Amino acid sequence: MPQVVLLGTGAALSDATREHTYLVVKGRHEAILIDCAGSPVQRLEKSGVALEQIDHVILTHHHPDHIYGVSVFLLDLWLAGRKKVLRIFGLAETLRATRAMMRAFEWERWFEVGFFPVEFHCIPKRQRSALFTTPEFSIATTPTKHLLPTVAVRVQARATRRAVTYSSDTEMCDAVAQLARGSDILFHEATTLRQATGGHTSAQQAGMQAKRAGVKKLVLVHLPPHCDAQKWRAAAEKSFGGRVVVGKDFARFEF
Amino acid sequence: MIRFTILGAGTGVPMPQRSPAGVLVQIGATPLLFDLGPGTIPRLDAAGVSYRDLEFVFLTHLHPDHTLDLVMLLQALNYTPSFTRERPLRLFGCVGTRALYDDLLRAYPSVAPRGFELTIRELSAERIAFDAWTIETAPSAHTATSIAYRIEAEDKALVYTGDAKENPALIEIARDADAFVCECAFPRGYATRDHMTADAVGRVARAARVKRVILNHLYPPALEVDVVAQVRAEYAGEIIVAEDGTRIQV
Repeated sequence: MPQVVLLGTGAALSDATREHTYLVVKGRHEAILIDCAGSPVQRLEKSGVALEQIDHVILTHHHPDHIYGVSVFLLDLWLAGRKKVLRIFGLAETLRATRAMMRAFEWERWFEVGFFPVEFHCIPKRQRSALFTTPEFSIATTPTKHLLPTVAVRVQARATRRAVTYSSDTEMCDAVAQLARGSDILFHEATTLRQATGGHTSAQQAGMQAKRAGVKKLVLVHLPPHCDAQKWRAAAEKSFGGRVVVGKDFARFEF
Repeated sequence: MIRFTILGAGTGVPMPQRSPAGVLVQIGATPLLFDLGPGTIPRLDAAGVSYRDLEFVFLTHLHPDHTLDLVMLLQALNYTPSFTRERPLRLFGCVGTRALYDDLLRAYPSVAPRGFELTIRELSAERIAFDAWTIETAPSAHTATSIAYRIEAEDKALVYTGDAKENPALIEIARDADAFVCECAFPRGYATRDHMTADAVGRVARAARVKRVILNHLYPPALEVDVVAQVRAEYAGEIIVAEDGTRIQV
């Protein structure tokens, strides 16, 4: 069964128990990395994902906690002997920032020593835009309401038609609830408990989003330092009325 | 081995991090500069080559986003303190290059070469052999006289289209190229009479059997959709979206 492994669950400011929020969707033969923070290669290995399973990386926006791991991820893939193409998907702004970051490491020179091909695919800023399809998954994205251009991502398993949706960073946003509609699991950010802050969602609001979307389960991610999991869960459960899990690094969710 | 650096991956439309046209090609220690969009000369310096060391400059066509820095190059060669240019400067370009140069000197008489010779040769469809490399040109169909260039050295071939429109000569000159730096001005379905759309790039790349395509000269609409996927629908090889500073060797 396909599964999501949370490689990190922290907000931009996090604590010793959480890396920044990023995740991998793992199928039978393939895996899709969504955002890239922390130490991706180590965390993927610990999650049982082989590097050669990853052909697609989706970057939701260009705040550092969502893309800073790309540089070392690319370097490590090369050191691990990768030859085949890697496809990186992001909004135009996200791709620009990612490539600017890579230029800071003078990665143009890496290609002179036989670096594998990296393709940059621009995500259109359209609601519920079909992004790509692999043998196992179909991917769609929708723009969120965040401090800079950001997308939420929906991954559907083609065999079972079951889906999961990841909000990325966003305020309460109808488009995200619509994208998540019919998903089994919504992975939603919950940067605060009840009080909404600009560009982000509280646990209570994440519950409201899960209710609107009609999902079966809500998993809270992008959590602040030393957050009280019981309070976060209670706040979200109250507004959702369904099952809520407070995400932990390396937690797995089948769908 | 041919090394090349995209000095400007953009157009005449001001865009952050995407400058007007310029491509640096390096064959051994010899730099060749293709197109002179505004800002090309300082970006050439950033790529590790001084304008002082340029001997060969090539123009694909005469639009300002490809030619404005010709004046700046000539000014710099005349007026850099404690530098005297002695080597000749060889300017190649499409038909009309000589007339443009004469017009520029009328507008900016002070940039007329001092102490060095400037030669101009206009090209349409021909092949010229230099010491360690050859240049071939073909009509690129963007303007009546615009040309694409093929640079060959040590069994490697690089093709730079400048601005272009899908046409049989483009496929011919790109045949089996190791790197095809092709204009990808607009996405598929965009109405244009004199530019390349992503699907056209894919068709030419496939028909010419190039080893990899570098999408260049992107207008803003081409940056808002997945042009890589649109090229991919026609072409199975490697696809790279050029940015200012993209550097490749074949």
